[in-house]
Order: sequence, then structure tokens, then C-alpha cells
Amino acid sequence: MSGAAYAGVVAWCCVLAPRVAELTATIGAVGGLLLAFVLVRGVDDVLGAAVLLAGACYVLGLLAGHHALDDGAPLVGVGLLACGELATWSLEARPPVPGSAALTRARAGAIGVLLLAGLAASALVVAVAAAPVGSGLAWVVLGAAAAVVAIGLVARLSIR
Amino acid sequence: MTRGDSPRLAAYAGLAAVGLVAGLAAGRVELVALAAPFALAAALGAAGARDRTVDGTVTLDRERALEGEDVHLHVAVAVGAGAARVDLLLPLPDELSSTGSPRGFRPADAGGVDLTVGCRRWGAFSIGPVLVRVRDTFGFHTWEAQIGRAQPLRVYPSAETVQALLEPLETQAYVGNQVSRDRGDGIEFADIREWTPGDRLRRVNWRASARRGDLWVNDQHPERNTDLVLFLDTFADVRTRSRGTLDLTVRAAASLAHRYLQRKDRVGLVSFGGYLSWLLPASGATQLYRIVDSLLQMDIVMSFATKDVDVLPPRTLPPKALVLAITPLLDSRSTAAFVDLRARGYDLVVIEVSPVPFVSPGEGELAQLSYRLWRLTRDALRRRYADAGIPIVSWTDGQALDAVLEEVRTYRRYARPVHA
Repeated sequence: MSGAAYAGVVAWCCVLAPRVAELTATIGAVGGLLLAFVLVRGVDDVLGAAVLLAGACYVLGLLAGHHALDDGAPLVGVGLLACGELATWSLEARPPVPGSAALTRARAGAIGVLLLAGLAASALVVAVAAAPVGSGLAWVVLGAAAAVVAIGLVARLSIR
Repeated sequence: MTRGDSPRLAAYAGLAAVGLVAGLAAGRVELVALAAPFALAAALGAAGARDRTVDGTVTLDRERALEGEDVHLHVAVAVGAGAARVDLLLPLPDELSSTGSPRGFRPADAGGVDLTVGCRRWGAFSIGPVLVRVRDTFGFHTWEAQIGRAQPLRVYPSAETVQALLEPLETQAYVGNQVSRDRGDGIEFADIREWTPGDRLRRVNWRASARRGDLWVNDQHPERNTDLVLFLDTFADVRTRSRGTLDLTVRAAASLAHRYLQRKDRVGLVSFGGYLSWLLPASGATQLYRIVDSLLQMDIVMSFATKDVDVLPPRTLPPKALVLAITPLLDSRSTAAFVDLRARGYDLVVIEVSPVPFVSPGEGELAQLSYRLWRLTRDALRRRYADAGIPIVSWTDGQALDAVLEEVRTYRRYARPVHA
């Protein structure tokens, strides 16, 4: 399922910009190989890189494609998150410590809730961007602040 | 308690940051929308990053078990709110096995988890502490801790059926259950002889006296105890995955000690190997516990030091004791020690715990030749013992120990004991 989510995202990126579809597919294939390595060897160290490459595919498709607002962005974001979550779940569910059926249901529910919440957050971003609230320095400052908070979060997690 | 963070949490936060910065730089809201789910996941993960109390108890249903039996371990884990999954891991030595692999549990179910531990081989072990890993709902964080104390578990070797014991050539001075070859006060009739001053009237054989015209008295064999020394060769062990010569040695020693001590004999133990240990001969239930405890701690220790019986305290090998050597006949130091013991006049019997069933000849002509040479060398060594007047019998895995002892009895019945 993780691979399917990944393939779906890469396919969407290729459709988004047919002009650079080959390059997009190549980058996506490298990421797919990394994901396969994660799933086959059971190491999740390069999972972030695989998701990042899929994100790069989307950026490429977005920049090389049309300039209108892409409504599929929330689905792409949730697809990538689903790819990461399902791959991690696949690694955790392997022997020697299998879980019970109740645990499987609970984890599936948790992932579902996380994906739905992510979809809602992403859709909210797109909806707010589409709303006619104008533009200006305030929005730029708000975006920069969000970026700073995110980077701060990364730094905090790295320190821990 | 150790907390661990999933590496994907940092990756998500990094992706969110890259997406936000890229969206800001490129002026594309899609990139921000792409980063939003990851930012949400990273925020959830950061919110859950706190220390958690993991506590619990481990209880073993008993401290002693026989080889092949199962013991039950009850593990109770207490974790705080917010935990979604509890994994248990019970580290066990190779001699013990956990029936059914440890599984993940919901925190509500982890309050009382029963694990079954199979005792595959004898030995003294400690079980626990149990390793516990707790995960949060989204699997972003794990908390690992050890719970419970180490529980001692003694696994006793399974007993061999021994119906009839070997009788030593000579008995000791104390009263026991063994009919002595000497003459004196006892129950078993031995012979008649002429009356001598000091003989009691009740010992007069009136029928023989009437026939011979003189007073003749009965002689009896007195009942005496015997001293048995179990001389275990622990220089080397040949084993397959689950069985080995040391296992057979320990099982035979425990069974024989139990049966001889039941008969009020004194039993001593000598572990003659890389690590030398001994127990002076004594009788009673306490001695049985001492011997079994000593056997449980027995192990093969590699050593190249030259050793002979002189290193043993003299009291470990009392005069007239039956020395029962149990050996795989693999080390020249022990084989030389047996010849030395026989030369010193000890009543020695060698039970060879055959390593042959545990050895498979290699493929190829050279390996086959080596194997045959090894078998021939062993045959020659057995012949050497027989020439020295040492009864030697071979015991293989699956064979009854009784049959082996009967072979020794037959040998001793027809052989004349010669004191060196």
C-alpha cells in the first residue's frame, strides 16, 4: 500500500507536467528504489529521502507545468504522508514482535485519523489561498514565521 | 527508562520546513499545502515527546523444574495514559525457550501477561528482568524499560531409571544396606567355624555342632555402607544442537547419586576438567542437594594445564571407595588419571559416554579416514583400560543406564579383582 501511494503521487506529478515527465519519472524511480530498499531490508533511515524525492517530483511538475492553483496538492501531501506512515507500519508489524488484531485495528485507525487531519489541514491551506483575502506583506511575514517555526521544530527534535 | 524518537518524525519536520520555505520562496501555495500534513504530524509528534513511567512486576510460578518441563512467567506492566502498544521481550539463555514469541499488547491487556518458558536443558539460570517497549498512538515515540527482578530458576536433569546399583568390592566401616564381603555380625549367612572364646551363644549352630561333636558357630556378612566417588571428566564436551556428552554425564551422575544416597551410602563428587571442583563424600538428603547444585553449575572450561589426581585433596578419594568415572574419553589427561587411580588400587569403573552419536563423519576420503582412525584410537584406548583391569562400558544416548551397569556387573562377576 505504501508503494501504491508513492506510485500514485509520482504518476500525478508526471501528469501535471508532461513536458518533463521523463525527468520526473526518473527522480520518482530513484525514490521508489529507496522505498523498496526500506521495505525489503527493514531499515527506515532512508524513508525520509524517498518521500523527499517524491516531493521533489511534485515541485518539478508544479514549476514546469501550468501556473494555475493545483487542487490536487492536498491529496499529494496526504499521499506522501500515507506512504511514510504505511511503510513505517509495515516495518513495525514484522516479526519477531507481531501485534494482535486489536492493535492492528487501532494502528489503522490512528493512521486514518492522521491522514484525514492532514488532508483537512492541507485543504484548509488551499482554501485560504483561494479565498479573496488579498495579498501583502502580512501574508509574507506569516509564511516566513511558519517556516521559522517549522525549522525550529526540526532543530528541537534534532537536539533531543 | 529510555525514550526513543522515530527517525521519520525528524524527516517529517524537515519536509514540512522545506515545503514551507520553498512555497514562500517560489510563491506557490501548493508547496505549503504539500507541507501541511507533515507539519501537522511533526507537531503531534513534538507534543507527545515527554517522559513516561513504565513499571511492572515479573513473577515465576516456581524456582525448580525438571528438564523438559515448562514454567510460567507472569508479567504485569503498568503504563500511563497515551500508550497504544506494549511489547515485551524476555531475554533467555539458549537452554531455555519461550513458547510462542513475545507479542505486542494493548496497555489494557498488558496488566497480566503469561509467558511459558520451556526448560530444554539443565542448569541454574536467572530469568528476567523483562524488557518492555511502549509506543504512542502514532508510533512517533517509544519508551523502553526493564521491569522486574531476576528470578532464579534451577532446572534439574531428568533422571535415569536405575534399578540395581553397582556393588563395590569393599565396604566401609559404617552400617549401611550393602552386604559386606567381610564376616561379622549381620543377617546374611556366610559360613560356619569353630567356636572361639568370646562368641555369643546365639551364634552357635546346634545342628553342625551335634554332627561334629564340637561347638560351631555361624558367621554372617555384616551390612555396611559404601563410599562412591562420581569422577566426572569435564575436559571436553561433544554436542549437537540440544544434546551432548556433558548432558548425559550430568544426568547419569545425578541419577546415581540419588540412588546411592537413598541406600545410605556416602557419595562424593569430583569434577575433573579445566575447572576442578569436588565434594567430599557424605550421606543424606543435604548431600544430594549439594551434588545436584554442583552439577547444575558444571561447565566445560578450556584449559591446557596438566592435571593429575595428585591435585585432588586425599579425602575426596577415600580408601575402598568405588570410583565411578563418567567420561567421553576425549582428553588424555583424564584417561591418564583413570589409569593412575587404578594403579593406586581404587575400585574403578569407567562409564564411557560415547561421543560417537554426536559426531558425523565429514565428506571426502580424508575426512572418512580421519573418522575411522578416531574410532580405532578409541577402541585401542578401551582395550588399554581392559588390559589394566578397569571395567569400561560404553553408554550412548537413548540407552538405559541399567543395561550399562549390568554389563559392569557381569564383567566384575567373572573377573578376579587384583589389587595393585
